[in-house]
Amino acid sequence: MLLKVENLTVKFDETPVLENISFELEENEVLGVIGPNGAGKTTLLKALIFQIPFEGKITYKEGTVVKMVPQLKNLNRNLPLTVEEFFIFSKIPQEVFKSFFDEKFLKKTLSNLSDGELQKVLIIKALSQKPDLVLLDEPSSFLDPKNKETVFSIIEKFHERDKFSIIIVSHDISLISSMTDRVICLNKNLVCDGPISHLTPEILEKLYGYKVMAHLHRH
Amino acid sequence: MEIQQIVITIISAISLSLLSGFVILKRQSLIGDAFSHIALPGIALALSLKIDIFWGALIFLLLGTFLIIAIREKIKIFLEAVVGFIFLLFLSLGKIFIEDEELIESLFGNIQKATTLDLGIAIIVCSFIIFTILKFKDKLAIISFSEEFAQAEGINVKKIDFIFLLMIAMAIALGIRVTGVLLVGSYLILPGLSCLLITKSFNRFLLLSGFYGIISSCLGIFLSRFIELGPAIVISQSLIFIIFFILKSFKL
Repeated sequence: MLLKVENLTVKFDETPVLENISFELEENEVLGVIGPNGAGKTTLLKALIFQIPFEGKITYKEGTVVKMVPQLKNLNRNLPLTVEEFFIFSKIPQEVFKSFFDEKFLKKTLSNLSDGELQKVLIIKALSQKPDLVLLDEPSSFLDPKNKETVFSIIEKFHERDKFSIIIVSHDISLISSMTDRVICLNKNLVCDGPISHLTPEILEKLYGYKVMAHLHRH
Repeated sequence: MEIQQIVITIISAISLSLLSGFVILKRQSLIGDAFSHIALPGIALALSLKIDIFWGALIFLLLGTFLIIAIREKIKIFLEAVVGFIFLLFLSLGKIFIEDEELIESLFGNIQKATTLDLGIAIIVCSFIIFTILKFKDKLAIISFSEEFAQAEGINVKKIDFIFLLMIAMAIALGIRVTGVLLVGSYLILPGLSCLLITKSFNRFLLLSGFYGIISSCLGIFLSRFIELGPAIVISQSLIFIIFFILKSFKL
């Protein structure tokens, strides 16, 4: 077992955002997290990297390296930082990032990248740091279908080669169902936890409060 | 101007220019103005004790740094308003304790009073700032990109932020000697603003900021034959900004 979360509660100014969340994650497992806006999905990820105070217990297997790919917001895109400098400052070896991008792209500044390109850079950076667990926060929200395919084939290639666990938060239920074996539903509390095939329209309606049309990839 | 005063002017400009870009990227452009006013009672104290104004200014700037950090921990919102009120309070205290003839000197600077000791202090502070920026360059860049992202990367943002404010306090204490309390804020706005306009890489941006400090102060020293040094420096900085702006606009 890689990660064990027990009775996790997070409060912002005394108001609970997450309450009594417990789940476990195995090595090499891919876990999807879904839930409506404000359900506490990003908060869960922030607690998992100990970025915010919480009650309860989060235990990792010893020596676990966790990397997070945050949402593409609150980023200062005016920074005169080239893609190459970004990789070097993040201590990624030259030969690794050069195998993904050509010289011309590496000389671009972050401000000249499209959202899709920046997302790709951030994901490759995180996956190159030899993580045991990668947290992806809404990775597909800025990607068009073509970029989405490229990015997720990169993730799959890394995942096959390096064997690590993934927790992926997304509104994109069809993406989650194509990538993951297991999904948890959050709405302040843990509403469901199980294989993707158990995700029935009834559970989704209960979670979101209205009927959700989603195409699920059944494994 | 004597050679010693020229060197102090240039070194102070380099120190402040190197920090300027980060101040702009963090959207704290007015922190220089807020900080410099905090120094005024310190200058008053130093003058009445007949010690170097650098130390008086530095002590009050450090005090201000701790005060701002402490308040920021408690009040997460309205930080600008709090900073504003602190600097007005210190400005008032400064006005109460400072003699009228020395007030103008504190507000607009007086490089003529600089001593060899000042030169030594300037060299030490500037070396410290260059060394620290080079050492924490990657972390400063990632924090400027996004504080949240930097935290997720395991960077101790609070520590780096503290070191950064410390450097600002020291650099301002240096700059006050040259331009005085009122104009020193210009050093933290114009160099960064100008260099961010035209650079496309972080390393080049840092290098250009350093050069900007040298060139703007040399031009200022030249202009100071005709006008006072403080305003001369602000005018040269503005001229360079206009040149950079034209370069950028015409994509030269």
